[in-house]
Amino acid sequence: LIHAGRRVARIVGAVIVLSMGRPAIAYLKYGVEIDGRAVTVRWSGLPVRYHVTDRGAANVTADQFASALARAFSSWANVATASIEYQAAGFTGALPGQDDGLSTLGFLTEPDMDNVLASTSYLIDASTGELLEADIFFNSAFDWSTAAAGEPGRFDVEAIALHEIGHLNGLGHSLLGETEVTSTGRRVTANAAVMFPIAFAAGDIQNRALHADDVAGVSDLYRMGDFDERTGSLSGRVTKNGRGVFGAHVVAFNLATGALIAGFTLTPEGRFTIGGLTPGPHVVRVEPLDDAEIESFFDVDDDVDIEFRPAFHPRLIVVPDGGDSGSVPIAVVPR
Amino acid sequence: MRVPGAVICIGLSCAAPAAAQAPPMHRFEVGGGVLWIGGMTFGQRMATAVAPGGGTVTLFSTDNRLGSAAGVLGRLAVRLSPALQVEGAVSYRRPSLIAAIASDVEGIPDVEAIERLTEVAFEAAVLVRMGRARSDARVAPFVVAGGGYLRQLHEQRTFVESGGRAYGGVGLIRMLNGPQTLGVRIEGRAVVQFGGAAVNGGAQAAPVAGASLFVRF
Repeated sequence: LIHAGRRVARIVGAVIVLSMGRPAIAYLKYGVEIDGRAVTVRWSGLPVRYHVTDRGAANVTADQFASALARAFSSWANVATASIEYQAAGFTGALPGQDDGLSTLGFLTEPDMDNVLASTSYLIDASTGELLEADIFFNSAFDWSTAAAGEPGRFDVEAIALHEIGHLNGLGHSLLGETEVTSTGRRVTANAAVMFPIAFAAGDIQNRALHADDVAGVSDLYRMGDFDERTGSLSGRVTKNGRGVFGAHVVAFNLATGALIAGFTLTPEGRFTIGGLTPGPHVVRVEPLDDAEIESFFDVDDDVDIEFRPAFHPRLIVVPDGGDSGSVPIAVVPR
Repeated sequence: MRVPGAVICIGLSCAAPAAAQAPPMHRFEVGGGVLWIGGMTFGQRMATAVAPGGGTVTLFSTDNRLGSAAGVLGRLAVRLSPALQVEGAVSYRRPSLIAAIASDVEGIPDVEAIERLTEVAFEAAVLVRMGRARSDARVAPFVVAGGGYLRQLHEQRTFVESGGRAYGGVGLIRMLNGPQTLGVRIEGRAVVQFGGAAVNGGAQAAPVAGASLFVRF
């Protein structure tokens, strides 16, 4: 699900509610709880076959829509370290949101969802966590474009599709972005992940390319070849006054590559793990979840702590090939 | 007419005993000492995000360097002639990799994030005694040039990086005893190091100073 820039209200819970559980590990990945254990939600049967609703929207024909979707799917499929594949199964008269066994992407007019550009919903095998169906609707209450250079006042189908296909893959939101609060809501001033939950303004096409955080996330979900051996993870525990901090955003910055990859503390003890990192020394930065709505990342009843100051860890943390950094203790101080 | 011949004869007869009295050239040299390598700068690396409409926003910046550090070394040399020797050395030291973090977008105060490396270098070099210095001279200047292979183990001892270095330098050898078997060597070098923990992937230059004791046999 992705919000229009400048307008943020209550998140529509489709993604989180249907995922039925807490994300198991960073970026975020979605998960379900089966027999008391967290299981990552992912496709097991590849390629993922998808259908496109055979109707467009104002200014976007069905063919233009399908072409823009194909480009977005290609961006994910071209991640060299991930095995995810897609297959376009053609047009369908079906609409997204129907539990019909078809993964369908299409326009729906939802004027009441005045801050939701698009949303992904899932059908999951609750016994295995396997994704069975994922539908993406694009809200035709907004103006859309598939023009190569974008069009002022119209949201770019390819950029928004890239975000939603990330959800279709099983990825949750990333907090790698900066926002500012304006009189009309929250405005994005920068992002470093396509999976950031708030879109750039209409007309912007910057989010047509994946970032390191997106690549790490999909590669972690659909590992290919020697990905596990060539990458490593960084784990640790964030505490405040000696107690674990839940929902802290932890960013790993690779000094050699400049890649930013992030995750969250996901246990009451404040533990986190960020996988898919290129080995080498990393700067570690911790911040509260204050650049987007908490509900874009966690269930409303989760006890997310945002009352602490952002901080850098005073040590460089080395991520080894095919291993973990070892638990890194990070103490933060209250605001 | 016989006098010059006698002079020549005397001269030759004097020269021969003198040569026989020169100390033998000791072919091998074993030494150990300390070295100091100056800091190396790896430049800046920015954590950036994409801005609306294009361009980037800096989330924070890092200015990265390898700190200067002293270490120890061991050396084995073979003297090929009074003026020329080849040598191999192993050195060990523990420099710090430092990222000076600044300009945080949310105003986190500037801070340095640090880790300690364990560095072992294996080097080979050629040393040439300068000018008219003789093998039995008590003090001899020299020039040296060489290169080596570098292993840098990061702090948690789970990740090691390899690199290389090349260097050239000058120094002074002073023998400390009559039989010319014990000496001290001081030197200064310029080293160019590449690979290893250089987070910018480039080559960096640094000064090196060293002092060592050696024994010849």
